[in-house]
Amino acid sequence: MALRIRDHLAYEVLDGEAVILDLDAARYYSLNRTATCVWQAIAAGDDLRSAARALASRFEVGDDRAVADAQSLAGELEALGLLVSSE
Amino acid sequence: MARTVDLHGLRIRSDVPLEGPAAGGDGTDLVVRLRDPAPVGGHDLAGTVLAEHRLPAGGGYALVADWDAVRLVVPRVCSLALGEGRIDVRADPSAPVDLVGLLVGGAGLAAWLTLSGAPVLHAAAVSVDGTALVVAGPSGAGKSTIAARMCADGAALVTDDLLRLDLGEGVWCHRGTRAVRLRRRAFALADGLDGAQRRPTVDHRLAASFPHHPAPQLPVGAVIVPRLAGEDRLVIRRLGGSDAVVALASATRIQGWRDPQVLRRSLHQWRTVAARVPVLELSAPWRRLAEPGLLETLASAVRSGAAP
Repeated sequence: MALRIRDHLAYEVLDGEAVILDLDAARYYSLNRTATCVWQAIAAGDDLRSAARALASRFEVGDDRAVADAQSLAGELEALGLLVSSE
Repeated sequence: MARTVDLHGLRIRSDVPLEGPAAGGDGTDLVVRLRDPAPVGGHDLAGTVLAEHRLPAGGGYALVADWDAVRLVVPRVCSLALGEGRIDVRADPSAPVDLVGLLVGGAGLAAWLTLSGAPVLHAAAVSVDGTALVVAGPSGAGKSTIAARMCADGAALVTDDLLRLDLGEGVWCHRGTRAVRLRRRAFALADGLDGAQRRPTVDHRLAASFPHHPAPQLPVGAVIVPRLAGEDRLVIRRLGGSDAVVALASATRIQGWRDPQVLRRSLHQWRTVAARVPVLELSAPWRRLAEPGLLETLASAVRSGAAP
């Protein structure tokens, strides 16, 4: 499934953690390092599989675990309205 | 009669009384003009709302862009038209002149500076050994109390309520007002402050004046974010990453921004500040914030880099 960052968001990253600002609602969201890794991969245009590979590499976890985590994190971000399907 | 003051890095010539040291020399960066009084209505305004902040008990303000100006409207008090190099003030006939001055010097200057691109915190600051300790947070967080306590411990006051930052190299701040405005619960603190001149304010606070930092600008050593806690101990920890950025974003002087350009720029500015200076969370019950020795406790925490 292809996901993209929703329009009208701004974000900054510091020490591996992202702060996302919903420009419409003026609301802030904080992401931990693993969520930020997935976020940055999607922001760069990667799909979930590539995001999982980035997770596996950065945090030295197995592929299966990385895929599960990436899907779970993406689902949470989509539920918050920060990611949308690009299909 | 107009008077020129040095405040927040600006030479301001103002018809409205502003709390700041007299400026020498020539030239002005900002002119504040008092126009004929006129009734100032409520929040139902035409135009694009750039920011809006309503208080639970009524009152608040709105920053509105209409066809000819950006206006900061404080219902039943004043309307400020913010332009390049100027703020035009229309006071409601029923509003006390001191209250108008307070709003111009606070929300008015904060809005003008923010629209000009400057990062502006809701903060007090004191100077210690040539650097600023900034205390930032929303209303009621204890900023003025902490600043007054640190001044009583020997620090010089840099500003209260509004702090303009400069992010050219490092993080620098500009000197502002010469007095802290204490809420009622801190009046007892003011009674014990040696050397502080005290006077009541139009908004039912107590203004306590302290020696002012001598230079108009100084580098920021740390930002302290108070968090009132029930536990009877004082805990200082360094905020990292996203927590530091969000803490700063929650401490802007003008609340309720909706303008995407300002929001986006501010987020980047707070990220820059958090990357360059330590942001420390100070958790304590309110009464601990007023205890002698707080300055050394905080200065020591800054020197040691306070554990995250």
